Amino acid sequence: MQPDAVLQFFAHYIRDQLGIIYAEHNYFQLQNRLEEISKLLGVSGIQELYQRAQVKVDGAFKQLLLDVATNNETSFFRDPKIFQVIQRHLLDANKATGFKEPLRIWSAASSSGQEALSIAMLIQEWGLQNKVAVPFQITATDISTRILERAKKAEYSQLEIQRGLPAMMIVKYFSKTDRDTWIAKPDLTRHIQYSQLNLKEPYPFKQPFDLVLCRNVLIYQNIEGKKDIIDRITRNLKHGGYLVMGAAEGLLGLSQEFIPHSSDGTVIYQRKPQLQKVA
Amino acid sequence: MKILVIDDTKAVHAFIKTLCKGLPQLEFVSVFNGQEGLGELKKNQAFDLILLDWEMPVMNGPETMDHLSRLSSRPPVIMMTTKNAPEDILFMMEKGASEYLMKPFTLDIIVEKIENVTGRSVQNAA
Repeated sequence: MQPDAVLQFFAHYIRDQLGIIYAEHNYFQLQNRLEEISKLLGVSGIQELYQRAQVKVDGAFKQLLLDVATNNETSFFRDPKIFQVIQRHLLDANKATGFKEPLRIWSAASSSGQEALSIAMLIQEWGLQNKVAVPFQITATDISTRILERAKKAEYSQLEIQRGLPAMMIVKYFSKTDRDTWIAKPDLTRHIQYSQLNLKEPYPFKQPFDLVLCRNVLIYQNIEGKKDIIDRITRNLKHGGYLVMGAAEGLLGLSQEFIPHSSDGTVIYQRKPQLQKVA
Repeated sequence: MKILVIDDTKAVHAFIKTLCKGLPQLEFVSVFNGQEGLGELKKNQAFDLILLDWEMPVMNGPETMDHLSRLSSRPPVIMMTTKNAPEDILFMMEKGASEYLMKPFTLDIIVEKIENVTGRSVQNAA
């Protein structure tokens, strides 16, 4: 095990850049990730990385450090109940009036892309079943350029494709390659735009979203970090729009801007309507 | 939950039992071709699910599915096979399979498919 002082240095750097907290009992995870970076950069080990960091952390080194500091586990329709709740509030509720404008959806911390594709499939399936045209656009962002490149390819192994997807959905929305992998069909991916984004840095969006998914990201932040990110997300969410968080997360103590809607233990947060000015 | 596993490979039966050893509520009955599988069903055992291989001697997966489709009642069937082309999946789903499990698979994948097809949690299966 690497001397604690070296790991502490990197833990503090990641905390300052990303707000991700590595507690000492998780230093072994950090050490594994730093060893990965050492190999990728072709240096002898973590000690050499540390010496390099004393001079400067920039370029590929900085990006790799931020990339591997994030946890990229995901699956299709992860926590299936939340997708039922999204359908109820975003789609069923608007069935009668129709969708005059494209739905704008943001998958923040989209990892390898399964969440964005799941939302796209949810909307497509709902539109087909209800015979309603639903224009929509999904913005998928992640801090890790490495994982974003994976998401853009939308190519999954046989194990990955079977996690969360029924067989008929696999066949309907994915094509099999000769590498025994499955690639999302263009009819699905054309609705998704991918871009790199650090949730702690300024957001480039010009229009607010109808739905933001920010799941299992804030758990790595301290209270101030959580409040900051929630404030920024709120400013990019329409009044009446929805925020979805991870199953073990909530907005208690973080924001007064939302109304929680709870269904069978699953919560979706709706931004409060804009206050009408009284004449 | 009682599951009939129809597969010609001993190692597959052993693999499934090992994979699922942390789920004692699942009871597996192993047979090695479709004809043996139909024989087990005729004994009026109350199976909740069938896991069905494709390529087997004596009676293969598609042939077995044809026979099963003629029964007045039968448990749902999950295909469990190395055949992974889209047309294979469509072929068996059209024959009446409820789901399709591509080998190799992990515990979380088979559990998810069992739960989705039976509508029951395997953690609480009696």
